[in-house]
Amino acid sequence: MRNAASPNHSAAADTPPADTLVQVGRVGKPHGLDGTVKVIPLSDDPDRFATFDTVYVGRNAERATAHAVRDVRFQPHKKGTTVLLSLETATDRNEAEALRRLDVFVPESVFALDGEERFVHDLVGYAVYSGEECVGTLTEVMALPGPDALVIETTEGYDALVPFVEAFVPRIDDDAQRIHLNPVEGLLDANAPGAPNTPPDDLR
Amino acid sequence: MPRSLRKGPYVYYKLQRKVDDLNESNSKKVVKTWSRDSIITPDFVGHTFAVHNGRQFIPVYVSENMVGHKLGEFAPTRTFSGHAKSKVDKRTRRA
Repeated sequence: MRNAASPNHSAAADTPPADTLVQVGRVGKPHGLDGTVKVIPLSDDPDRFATFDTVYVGRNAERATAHAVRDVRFQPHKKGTTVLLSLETATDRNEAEALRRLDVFVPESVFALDGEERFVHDLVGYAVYSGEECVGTLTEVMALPGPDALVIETTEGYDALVPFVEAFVPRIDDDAQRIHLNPVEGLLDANAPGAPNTPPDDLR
Repeated sequence: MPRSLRKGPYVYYKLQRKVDDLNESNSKKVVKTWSRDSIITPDFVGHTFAVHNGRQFIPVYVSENMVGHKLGEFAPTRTFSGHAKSKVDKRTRRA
């Protein structure tokens, strides 16, 4: 059995820099006998796999190597969609087994973000300002059934959640890496440590 | 069996009172609530509710297409952020 991450397994020479690779999934079990593997998509839209010609597979972005994509199919799953990925470099079940538990990456440049769409990892770390005052740093974007919520680690040390809507986030300055907020009363301190945190008696 | 139409949608009376006050005063203060089973009615649109999920308050900015749903539907009680350590293809969009 060959090591999937070894340089002779694929065209490693044209691997883009690790910091430009974005993880889109993780290889699971082999599927069938022809080298197809199940991929658990980490991408928020698994259909994007259909557009990939080459993927980079490895334990991490630094060790990922290029693999040409032979075929992509989708399988409905109770927790979403499973991707069935066939690579040119894996032609039997043993080779597919060698890829198991490795991460699947693609270069950021293959994605065309439209308009307001942004990568979460690009926004994380931005300073958050309310007027001229720095209120904290963005640590996470929480995916919610409604609009997403920005998780801001405030200067007081607690996490404040702000809906990612134009009414509250009117401007994002990418050059200065700043997010400007327009918060209403009670938005930033809803989860503050000293705030009352017990329901009324008739709701208990 | 669905709720009788005669009764109208269920909204916790204190929450309804707060929303009525906000609409009367035309202000946009965040309303904290534990009442996850209250139905979103058209007079909630444009307001922000901090809905408790058992651990923290999740801000829910109510838009027109949320009317008829319950507040709790927009404040999940279980979240799994994943195991990935590297940059992941997760995107967000300002609504």
